[in-house]
Amino acid sequence: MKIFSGVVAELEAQGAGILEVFEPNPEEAVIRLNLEDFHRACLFMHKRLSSAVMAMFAADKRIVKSSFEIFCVFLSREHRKWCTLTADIPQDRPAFPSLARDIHSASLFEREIREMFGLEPQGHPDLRRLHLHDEVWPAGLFPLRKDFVLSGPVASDGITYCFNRVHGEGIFEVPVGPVHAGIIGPGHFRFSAAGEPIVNLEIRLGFTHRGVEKLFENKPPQEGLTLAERVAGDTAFGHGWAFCRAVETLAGLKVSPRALYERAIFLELERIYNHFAGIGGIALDVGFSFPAQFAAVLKEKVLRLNQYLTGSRYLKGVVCIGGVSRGFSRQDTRALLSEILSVSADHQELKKMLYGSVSFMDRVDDTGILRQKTARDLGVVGLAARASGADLDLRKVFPGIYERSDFRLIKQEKGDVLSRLRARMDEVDESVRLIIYFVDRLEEQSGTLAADFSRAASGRAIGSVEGWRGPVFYWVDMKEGLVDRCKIVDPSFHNWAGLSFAVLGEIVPDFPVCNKSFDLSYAGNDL
Amino acid sequence: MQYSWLLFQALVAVFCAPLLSGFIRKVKNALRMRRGAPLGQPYRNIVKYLAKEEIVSETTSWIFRAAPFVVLGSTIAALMFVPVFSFSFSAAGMGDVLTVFFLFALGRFFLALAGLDAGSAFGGMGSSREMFISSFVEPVAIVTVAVVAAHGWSAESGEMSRHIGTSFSRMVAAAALFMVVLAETSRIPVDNQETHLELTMIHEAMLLEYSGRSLAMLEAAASTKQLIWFSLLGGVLWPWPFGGAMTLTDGIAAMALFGLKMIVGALVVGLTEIGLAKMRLFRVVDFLGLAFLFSVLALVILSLGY
Amino acid sequence: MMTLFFLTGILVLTYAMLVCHRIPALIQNFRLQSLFLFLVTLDFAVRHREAKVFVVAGLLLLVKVILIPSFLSRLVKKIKVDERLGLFLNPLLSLISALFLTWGASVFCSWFLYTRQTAVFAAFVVSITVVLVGFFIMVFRMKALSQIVGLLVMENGIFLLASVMAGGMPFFVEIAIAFDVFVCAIITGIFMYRINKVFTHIEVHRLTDLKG
Repeated sequence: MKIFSGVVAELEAQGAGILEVFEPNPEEAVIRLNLEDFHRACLFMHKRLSSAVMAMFAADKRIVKSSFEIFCVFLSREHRKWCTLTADIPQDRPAFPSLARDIHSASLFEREIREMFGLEPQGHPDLRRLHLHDEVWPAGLFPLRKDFVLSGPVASDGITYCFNRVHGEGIFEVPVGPVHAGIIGPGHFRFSAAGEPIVNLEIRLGFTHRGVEKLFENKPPQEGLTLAERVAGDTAFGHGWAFCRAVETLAGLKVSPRALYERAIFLELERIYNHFAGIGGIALDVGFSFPAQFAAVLKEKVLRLNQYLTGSRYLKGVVCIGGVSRGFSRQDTRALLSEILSVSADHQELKKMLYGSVSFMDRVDDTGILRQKTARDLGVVGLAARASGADLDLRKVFPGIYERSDFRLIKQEKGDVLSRLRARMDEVDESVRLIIYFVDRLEEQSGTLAADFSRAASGRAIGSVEGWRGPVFYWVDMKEGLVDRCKIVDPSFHNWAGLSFAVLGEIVPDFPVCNKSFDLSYAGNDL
Repeated sequence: MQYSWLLFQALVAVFCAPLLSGFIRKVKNALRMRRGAPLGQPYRNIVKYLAKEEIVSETTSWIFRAAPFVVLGSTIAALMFVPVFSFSFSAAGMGDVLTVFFLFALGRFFLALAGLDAGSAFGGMGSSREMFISSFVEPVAIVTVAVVAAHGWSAESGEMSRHIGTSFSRMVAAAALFMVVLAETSRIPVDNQETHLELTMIHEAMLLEYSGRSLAMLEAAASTKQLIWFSLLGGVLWPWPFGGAMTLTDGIAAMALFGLKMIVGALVVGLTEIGLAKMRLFRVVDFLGLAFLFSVLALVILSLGY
Repeated sequence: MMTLFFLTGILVLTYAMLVCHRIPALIQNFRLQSLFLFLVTLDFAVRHREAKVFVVAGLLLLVKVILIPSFLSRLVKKIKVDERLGLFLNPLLSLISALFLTWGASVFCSWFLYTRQTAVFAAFVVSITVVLVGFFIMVFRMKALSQIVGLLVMENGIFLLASVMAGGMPFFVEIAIAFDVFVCAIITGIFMYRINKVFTHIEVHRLTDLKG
C-alpha cells in the first residue's frame, strides 16, 4: 500500500494550488484547492489513478461561509483510498469549469449539479436537465439549495425535452415507455432504428425522482437509515450498510466483528437473490420459460430464507447504526446453511440447463457487447464493468471483513449478454462460498450486536459497499447530530450510459435481453 | 343435409378452438411446475373482451374497424374448406386447399394494415415482421399441399384426404408442414405468445391497439386458425378415414379421432415451446428455409413415384 | 409405416445438421439420428426375428447413441472451445446442395431399383443422402470436431445402406466396425485435445499456419 502523499506531491508539481490536504480516516484523502486549479487537478487525478469520476456533487454552504462547495471523488485502487478533490464556489459567481469534455464520467453529475444547485458547468456540451423534467418543473428553481421552499404545486415553463435525432432515409424513431408492460421502473427509451438494427438509443430517466437527497436534510441518522433503505428497493441492505458506514466513520464508531460477519452474510444473500432474478429475467426475455421459472423458484427460496432470518424478505430494517438489529441463533445458522446449500445445488442444475441449450446460447452469445474501452471511458462500474473485463470490486479495494476469506474477483472478458450471465452465475457460487465461510467464523464470535450510538456527531465521511449491481456510494455531512447533506450514488447512475452503447448494432427484439442483462435500477438512478 | 352438417362442423370447431389453446397452455404450465390458468381461461378472456368498451384511436381509418371482421370472416370461411372431422364435410364444389391459403393471406393482409393504421411503432414493427415471415411460410405451405394433392390429382381437400395410406413423400411433407404450423400459430421458436415485451412481438404486436369486441374477434380468429393448421397437419400425417355415408357412431368416432389428433399435436407443440428459446428474427430464415427444402424434397421424391 | 416414419426422421435430422450453427447442436442431432437408426434396426430385427440383428441394434444404441455423443460433449466442454461452428457455406446454400444430392440419389436409385416397396426405396435414398451429407459436413465446416461427426454420420449411412441391400453385413464385420468406430472417435478426441493445446483453436483451415 503506497503512501498517498506521493500522489499529492505529483499534483503539486503540476502547479496546482493546493490549499489543504488531510486524511479524515484511513480510507479517504481530501484535497482542497482553488477553483481555478480544480479542472486541472481533477484531470490529473483521473489519469494518475486510472479512475473514472465516482461521484461529483455540490453542497450549499452559503450560510456558513458564503459559498458553495464542489466535490469530485475518485477511487484509487492501488492506494485503497477515496480521493476527494474539493473547491469553494463563491456565491456571487455560481459557475465552475466543466470536466465533461475531458472526462465523460463527469457529464451526468455536472448536469445534476446544475439542475439541483444552479451552478453552471462552463463548457458543458449538454445542458438538458436530468431528473427535473422540463415538462413539469420551471427553470430557476433549485431544490438542493438551502433556501429552497416548496410552497405548492409548480407550473412548468412549457419547454419539452429535445431528443438527439438521427436523420436519414429509412430511419424510424421508436419511443418505448415510460410506462412499460412489465413490472419494472419507468424509463423512456428512444430508438432510432433502420428497420431492425438499432442505430442510436437515447435513454431518458428521472421519472421516479423523489427528492431523496433533500429529504435526508435535517434528519437524525436513524431516520436517515430508514430513508436510505428505500432509495432502491432491491439494494435495501446495500444502501443501508453504506449509509451506516458513513455515519459510523464520521462518528468514530467501531462495529464488532460479529456484527460485521452478519452484515457480510446479508449482503451476499442480497446479491444471490438479485442474481437469480437477473438470470431468470434473461431467460424469460428470450422466451425460454422453463429455466426462467426455475430461477424464479430459487429467488423465492432465498427471499423466504431472508424472511425466516430477519422477518423481512428484502432485508429492510436489518442493518442499524453500529451493527445489525438481529442476531443469529444456532438454529438460524443451521437453517441458513442447509437452505443455501440446497439452493446452490439447484443453481448447478440451472447452469446446466442454460449452458446446454443451443437455442438459448445462440441468442445470448455475442449479443449486446459492451467493449472494455467503452466501459472504461463511460465510467461503468460493478457487474457490467467486470463482465467487460474491468478489475473493479470494492470487496477487493476495501476488504474489511472479506480480508481473509480468499475473495475471488469474478470477471469475464467479452462483455456480451453471455458474459454478464456467466458473471452472475459465478458470483452466486462465490457468494455461497463466502456465506459458508462467514457462518463458520460467526460461530467463534461473541461481540455486541450493535454498538451504542447516541451522541450528536459532526463531520463528513464516505461510506461505500459493493452492492450486487456495483459500488453504492454515500457521502454524509452531519452537523450536531443531524444530516446536513447526503450525496447518494447508486451504481445504476454510472451504468445506464453503458446500455445505450451496448445495444448499438443489435436488432430491436434483442433490446429487452440486453436491458435485462444489465438489470439497472430506475429508482436508484433517479433518487 | 350436407350443408347443415357443414355448419355443425364449423360451429363445433370454432367453439372448441379456444379449448385447444387452453390445453396447450396447460401442458406448458405442467412442464414448468406451475398450476397456471384453468383450461377454460381463453373462453373467459373472450367473454371478458366482449363485455368491455372498445376504444378506437382517432388516427385510424376504416381498415382498423373492418379488419377484425375480415380476419374472423376469412378464418371461418377457410374452416369450411378444411375437412375437420370427415372428408366429405367440406364445401367441395366451391374451392380447394389453395382457397384456404388465400383466405388466410387475406386475413393476414388486413391485420398487417390494421397494425400500421394506428401509427404506433410497435404495430408497424409487428406488421413488417409478420409479412417477412409469411413470405417464407406461404411457398412451403403451398408446395407441401401440392405434394399431398398430387396423390389424388386433386387439390380439393376432401379428395386429398380420401387417399389413406402413407407415403414417403407425404411424411417428408409433414415435417415441412410441422415447421409451418409453428410459424403460423406464433409458437416458439418463431414467436412467443406469452411475452409482454412489445419490442419482441410478431403477431401480438399487430393486435396491441385493439380492445373490447374487436379483440375478442381477433382472439377467436387466432385460435380457429390454430385449429385449422392442426387439422391440416393431422390430415397429412394421418388422414381422415371417415367420410361418405356416415352413421352416428361413425360420426362420434370421427370426432374422437379428431380430439386425439389435437391432443397429440398439443403435446408435441407444448414440448417444443418449453424446450427451446425463441430464435432471433433473422434466424427464422434458416428455420423456414429448412422447411421449404423439405417440401421441395417431398416433391422430388413424389416425382419418382413414392 | 413405422419404418417410413423413422426413415423420415433420419432424413429430417440429417438436413437439420446442415443448419446447425453450434457444435453441441450438431452432436445432439447426431445422437438423435443414431437413435432413429437404432429404431429402424430394431424394427427390422423384430420383423425378421434374428438374434444377431438384435445384438447389432443394441451395439448401435450403446456406442452411437450413448457413448460417443457423451464423450464428444464432454470433450467440447473440456477443451472450452468456442462453440460456434464456422460455416464455409451458409445454411441455405448447404440445404440446396443437399437437396441436389438427394435428388441425385433418388434418380440413381430409381434406375436400378425395381421394387414398389416404398420403405426399401426410402431406405436407399436416405442412406445415400446420409453418406453424402456426412461427407459435406466434413468438407464444409471449419471446426475439426465437425470432421469426426461427419465421419460418424457417413458410417451411419453406410450401415443403413448395407442393412437394406444385403440384410445387414456379416455379424462379425458389424462388431468389428462398431469397435473401430468407437476407438476412432476416442483417438480423434485425444488428437482434438492436443491440437487445441498447441494451436489454441481447432479450425482446420488454420492448421496449416506455422506454429513455432
